[in-house]
Amino acid sequence: MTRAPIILLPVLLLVLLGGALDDPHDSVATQPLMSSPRFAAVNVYIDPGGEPLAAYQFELTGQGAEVKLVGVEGGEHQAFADAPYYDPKANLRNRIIVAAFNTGENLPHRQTRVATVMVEVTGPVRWLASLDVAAAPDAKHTDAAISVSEGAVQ
Amino acid sequence: MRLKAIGVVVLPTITAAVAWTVVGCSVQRYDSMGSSSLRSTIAPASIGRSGGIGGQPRGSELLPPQSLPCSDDELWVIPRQPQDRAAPRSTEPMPGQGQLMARRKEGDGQKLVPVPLKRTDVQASVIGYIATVDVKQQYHNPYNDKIEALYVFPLPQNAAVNEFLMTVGQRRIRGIIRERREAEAIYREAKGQGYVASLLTQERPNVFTQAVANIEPGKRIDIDIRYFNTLDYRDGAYEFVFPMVVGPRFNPPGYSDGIGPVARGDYGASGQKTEIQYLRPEERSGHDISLSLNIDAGVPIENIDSRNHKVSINKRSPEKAEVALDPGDSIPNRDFVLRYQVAGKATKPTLFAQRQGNGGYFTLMLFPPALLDDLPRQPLEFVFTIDVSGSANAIMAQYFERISHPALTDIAVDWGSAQVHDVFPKQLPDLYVGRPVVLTGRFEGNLPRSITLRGKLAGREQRIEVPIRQADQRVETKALSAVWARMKIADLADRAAYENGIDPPGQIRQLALEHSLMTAYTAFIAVDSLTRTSGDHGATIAVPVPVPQGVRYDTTVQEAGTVRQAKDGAE
Amino acid sequence: MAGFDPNPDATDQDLPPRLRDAIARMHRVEVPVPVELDQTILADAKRSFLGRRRAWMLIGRLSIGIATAALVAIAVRVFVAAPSSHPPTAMVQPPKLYQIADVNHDGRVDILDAYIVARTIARHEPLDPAWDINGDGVVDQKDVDLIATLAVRAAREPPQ
Repeated sequence: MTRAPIILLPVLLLVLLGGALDDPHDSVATQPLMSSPRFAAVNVYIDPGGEPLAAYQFELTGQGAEVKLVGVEGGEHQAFADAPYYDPKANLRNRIIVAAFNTGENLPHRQTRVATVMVEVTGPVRWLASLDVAAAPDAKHTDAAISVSEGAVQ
Repeated sequence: MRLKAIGVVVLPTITAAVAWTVVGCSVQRYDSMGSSSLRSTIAPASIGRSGGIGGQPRGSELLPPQSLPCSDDELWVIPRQPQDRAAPRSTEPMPGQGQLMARRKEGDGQKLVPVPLKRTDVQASVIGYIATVDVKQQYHNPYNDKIEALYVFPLPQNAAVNEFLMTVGQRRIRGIIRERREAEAIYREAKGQGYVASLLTQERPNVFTQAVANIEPGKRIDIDIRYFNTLDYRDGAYEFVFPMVVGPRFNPPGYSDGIGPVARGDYGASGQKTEIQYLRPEERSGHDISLSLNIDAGVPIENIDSRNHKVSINKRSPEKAEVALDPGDSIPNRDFVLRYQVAGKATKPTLFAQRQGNGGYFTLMLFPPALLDDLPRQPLEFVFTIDVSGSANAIMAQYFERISHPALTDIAVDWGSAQVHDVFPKQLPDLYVGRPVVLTGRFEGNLPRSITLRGKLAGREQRIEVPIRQADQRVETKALSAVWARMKIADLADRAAYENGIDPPGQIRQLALEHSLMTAYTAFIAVDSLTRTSGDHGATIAVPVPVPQGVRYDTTVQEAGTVRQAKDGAE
Repeated sequence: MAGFDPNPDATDQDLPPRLRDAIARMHRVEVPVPVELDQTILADAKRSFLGRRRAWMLIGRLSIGIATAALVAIAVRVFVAAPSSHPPTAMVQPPKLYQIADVNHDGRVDILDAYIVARTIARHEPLDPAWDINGDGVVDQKDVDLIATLAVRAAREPPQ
């Protein structure tokens, strides 16, 4: 009789462990057992607040779902129209770092879409973006803001 | 006792897991797409701003997607069955389907047929013996309905395909290298949902398939591919080869994983997994090809010669040349082969190195010593040579003569104090006059000023000091690592034939993903998730190609419903 | 079935049942058990029970070990490696290659380092030889590309 609790205790703890690993910041309580994949275009915008934007680097994370990277597109402004730098191995971790720069003079000063990340998503997802670098032509950091939207370009 | 242990430990665990899953499913309902259960809803405005130098970056969250339907109706997901490739199915446009290019060209008696591939542009740059080649394929839809274009094309055997770009209108989307089956699944899903998508897969080391889905009528989609490779050096000349058409090849009876030659429109006629549709002799497609090549040999160039095409040559300096394919010779029915000799009879071994921090990658081309003109014939074991190219007997005789007189055998390279590892080929082949060997590997620290080549000549030990001339470092950044990875992959594939205990697919896949390389186990995928086209994904139109020059259509291409007769009249 | 009758001359009518049973016990033949057999059986039984006990003790200890490991994992997961909405970006990177690539010496390799080199090249300004990241003897676009590649590398090595 005394052996049964010893056996059941690790089982119970493992169940609790699974529960504890759920992201407490998920806006979705639970995930469906099966979801069809859907495709999404995650548009990333940077607002340099009136300063010319010469270089940027951001990190985009998809939480709560299985996310597969299926394409990376450059931005709307000519300065960042070419496909940016990114880590090809990042597609394995639901997280990607994207960066680009332009040494020319024709640079965006207002909010601009700098990149679009094409993804296949299975399940509900929460996108988080952090702006690591937003620099002016003098290589100084600027007080810029990042925002993301999914779907059609705003 | 064992049963009791299983019952006490395993069953509760399984029960707990099932219960956890069931509880999770019962809370989440997959109903309307407008439900917040599928995605979070967050204000469009940014939450914070970056804090300047040393400041903490702030994050932002996501708007709900706009591209999905928002309906209270129930959504049914019905998986599409994979197409039955064994069933013969014609991809000829159905009656009533518009064909913008169905017209006869006056004068040559050939019928111009519509094809989804309008043009191929090749731009190549050669530095030393490393080539960087950009191939741009222009796909378009000449029909009134959406189509999927399918194109089977060749690249050099040792091509390391490293970059992939899809251009839709003004938008350029860089493709991603993924595990092959995963990429194929993503492509099928994207195609089924109406997104413009492209998939590049490898059928053989020198045969690739490009699929482009959901090309709308009148629209154009460009695919850019970049690859690196090393040039061959044969009989005193470097040789740049760009293959243009996959020739028909033999498939053994009962074998279905081959590449089948079929007539235009006779999809499935060969029963092979991959098929190439060939134009009939009286047909011509509008697909043209352009090619330009910049050579920077590093030494004076002599005697530039194009074997199969008319070219224009512009010598910008003794060491540099620009070569372009003549626009009038743009039918892609034979390989582009350019040979050029470089000055100096005694060609020095040339090493290219690409540093990355403490070490890096290198390639080294080893030439046989020029002194060994009178070489004794070496005894040979049985040598079986299988020629699938259809080349003439004279070439085989020349080949046999050459392999009977090796310049140096049992070769080993003494790298001295250099820390060199992962050198390929692992087993150095014998050196023959006129046939250098290319080594590639990785190094740590500094490279030596010279290396020692050890081998046997007519049974006698030879030691040859080889000074290393480090070439001008203008080679593309990714070139050497890609070339090295490509050779390692080839080595893994070869070893699988005779070594137990290695997992070639797994190792190749991992290496290819690390270096973003096309292989049999990886593929490039690009999806334009921003634009969803309406309607069915349309018919699959394979790009037909001309039969290679010198190959007879009637004896090599399978037509549906025909039985080829042998020469003696038997079937 | 015919039972064993130790007293064939007795009849049920003659004796009370209790007396009859007592007499039957008196005449029961005791089957002697050899001592060695008895000891063998006893030893086998002890081994069997001891083995079972040891097995259950092992299972018990393993379970406690798993439970302890699970508790530690939960504690680490919750209190130490807590999920964050701001994934770390300025991770410490290994020396040498990353130190060389940290052009502006801000402690991390990011696109700003690549931009500084690229801008200097574009403006034809003097180049710092230390920016020769790939060690080929020149500072050029290849060094810029290499720095940018390092900047966006998602998996960064721990410090050495």
